[in-house]
Amino acid sequence: MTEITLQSVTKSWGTLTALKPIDLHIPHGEFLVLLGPSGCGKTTTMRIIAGLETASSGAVLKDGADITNRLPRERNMAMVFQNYALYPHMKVLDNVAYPLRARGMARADREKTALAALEKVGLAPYADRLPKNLSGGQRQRVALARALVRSPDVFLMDEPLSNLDAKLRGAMRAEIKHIQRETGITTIYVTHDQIEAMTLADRVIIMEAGEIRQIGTPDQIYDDPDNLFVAGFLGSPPMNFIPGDIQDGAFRSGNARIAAAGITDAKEAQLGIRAEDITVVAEGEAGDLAVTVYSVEPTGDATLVVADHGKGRLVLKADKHFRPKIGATVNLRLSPNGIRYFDSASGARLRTSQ
Amino acid sequence: MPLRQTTIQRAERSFILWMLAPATILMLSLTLVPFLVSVYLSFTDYSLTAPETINWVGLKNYSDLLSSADFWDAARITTIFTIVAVGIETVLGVGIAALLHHEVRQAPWLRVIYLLPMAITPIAATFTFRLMFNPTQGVLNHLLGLAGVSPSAWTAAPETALLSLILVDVWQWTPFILLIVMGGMAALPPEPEEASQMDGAGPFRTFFLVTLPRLKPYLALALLFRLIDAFKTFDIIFVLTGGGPGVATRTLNLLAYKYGIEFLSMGYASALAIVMLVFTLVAGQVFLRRLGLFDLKD
Repeated sequence: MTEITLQSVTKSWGTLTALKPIDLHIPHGEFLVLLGPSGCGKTTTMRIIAGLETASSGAVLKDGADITNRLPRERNMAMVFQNYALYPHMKVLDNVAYPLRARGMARADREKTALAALEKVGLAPYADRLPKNLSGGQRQRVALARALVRSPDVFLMDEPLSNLDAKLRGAMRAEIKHIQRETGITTIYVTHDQIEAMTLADRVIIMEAGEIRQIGTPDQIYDDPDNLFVAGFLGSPPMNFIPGDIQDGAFRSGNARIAAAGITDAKEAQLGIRAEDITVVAEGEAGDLAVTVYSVEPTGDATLVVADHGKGRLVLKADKHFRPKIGATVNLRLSPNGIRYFDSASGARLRTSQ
Repeated sequence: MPLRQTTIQRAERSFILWMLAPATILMLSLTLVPFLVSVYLSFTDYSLTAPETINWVGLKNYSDLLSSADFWDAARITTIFTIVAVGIETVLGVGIAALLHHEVRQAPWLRVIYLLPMAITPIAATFTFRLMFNPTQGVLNHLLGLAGVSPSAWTAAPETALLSLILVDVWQWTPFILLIVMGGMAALPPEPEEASQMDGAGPFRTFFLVTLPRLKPYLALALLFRLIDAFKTFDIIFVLTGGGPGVATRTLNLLAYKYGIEFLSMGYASALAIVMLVFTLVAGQVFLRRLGLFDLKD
C-alpha cells in the first residue's frame, strides 16, 4: 500500500518559478497522469516525487511519512525515462539486474529474477545484447523490465512513449496499462499527449504554467472542464469557442441567440462546444448558428468540417458521407448538453447557478 | 569511361591544389624531411665531431643500443616516470572532475583555477619548482619543517629525484585529464546517473558502474595524449635534474639528448629517437585497439 501526498510543494530556480504551490493526494494503486504542455511543471513535479529535484518549499509524504529530503534511492520508486536511460555499456540482462545488484542480491539470484522480468516484456531472447543493438521499442521494454524487476512502491514514468513511432506507442500503451493493473502499483505518468492521458489514467491532472488547472477522471475533464485552458487542451479536434456575451439567460453572438438559462450575465463570454456535439440541420430548417464552409476533411469514420461563424472558425464532426461545397452556408444545431460557457477574461467556467 | 572533366572542374581542381600547396610543402619540409633524414642517419656513423664523413653502418647503431645497459636503464626510468605520473594524474583528474561536476554551475571560476597549471609557461613553472625544491632555501622543506617532518633532498638525492619530477608533472598535467573528463561528463546525458540513483545505487556504485564506464572513450583519449607526452618529457627533467643525480632520472629522451647534443653522435642518437617513435606508434595502436575506442554510443 503506497500513497503519495504533496503539501504546498513549490519549486523555483532563482527568480524562475517552475511550480506554484501544488497540493495533491495520490491513493494506493492509482494510475495518475500529469498532463500539460511543455514547461508546465509536470516533469518537475514528478522529479520532486522521485527525489531527483528537491522542493523549494512544502513536503512530500509517502504513506504519511515525510520523504521530502530523502535521497532517490531511499524512496523505493522506479522510474522510466523518456530516452530510456539504459546503461549503454551493460548487456540487457545486466541492465535489468542492476537495481537488484544495488540491493546486494547475489549474481545468480538477480540474473534469474531479471530474466523473469525480461520474459514478462517478451525480451528474454535479447538478454545478452547491448542496448545499442535493440530498437527503440525494445529499449523501452528493457527500461520497463528494469523498473518492474524489484517490485517498487511507485512507478514513475516520464513521457516513456514519446520517442516511439505512433503504431508502437499504441501497443506499448496497452502493455503499460496491463502491467499496472496486474501489479496494482501506484503509478505517476507524465505526458503531453492527451490520448495517452485519456486512455491510461484513473485520474488526470492538467497543469499549465506551474499550476494545476484541473484534477479529475478522464471523463470529467473531457466533459466538464473547469476552464478554457482545459477545454481547449483536450480533445482532437479541441473544443470550439464562440465569443459573445450573456444577458438575461441567453448567449448572444452576432445574430445567434442560444439559451444560457441560469448563467449569470457576462459582458465577454465564450461558448464552448465539441465537434461531435454540433449537427448539421436539414436544408430549410432553422438552426442555432449559420456558418460558411471553409474546408472539408474526411477522416474515414466521419467528416470534419471547418467553418466560419463570423467571429472565428469552428470544427464539427458530420456524417462520413457529408460533402458540402466550400463557401456553402450551412445551418448548425448545437446540442444543449454539449454547451459549456466560460468567462473570457478569467477563463473560468460559468456554471448554472442552482 | 568516366565523364570528361569540364573546364570549370579542372580550374577548380587546380585552384584547390594551389591553395593546398603552401601548407603541404611547409608540413613536408618541417616534419617528413627531418624524419627521413633522421631515419637515414640512424643507419650511419654520422657524428658532428667529424661531419665530413658519413659511413653506412647498417643496423649497428640499433644493435649497440639494444645491448647497452644505459638504454635499458633509461627505458626503465622512462616507464616508471610515465606510468606513475599518468596514473596519479588520472586518479586525481577523474576524482576532481567527479567532485567538481556538480559544483561548477555554482562556481564556474573553479574550473579556471584548476586549469591554471596548464596555462602557465612550462619553463617558468619549472624554474619556480627548482626554487621550491631547493633543500636549504626552498619553500617545500620550510613547510615540511613547520609540519614537523624532516626535510627532503628532493631533486638532489637519487631516491627522491624521480618522485620530485613526477610531482611536477602531476601538478602540471592533472588539469588536462580533468578538462577532458569534465568535458565528457558534460557531454554525456545525465539520465543513466539518475536511473542509477532511482535503482537504489549509492554515489560510489553509480560512479564506478555507470559514470566511469561511459567516460571510457574520453578517458582513453586523455590517457593516450598523456602517455605519449609523458613518455617524451624533456623540459622539466632537463631543468630540474638534467637526468641526475647520477643517472637517476635519465629517461630515453634525456639519453638521446646526451648522445646527440653532448656527444654529437647523431647516428646513434637518431637510432634512439627512431626506437622511441616506433615504440610510441606501436604502443598507441595497441592501446587504441585494446580499448575498442569510440564504440560506446548508446
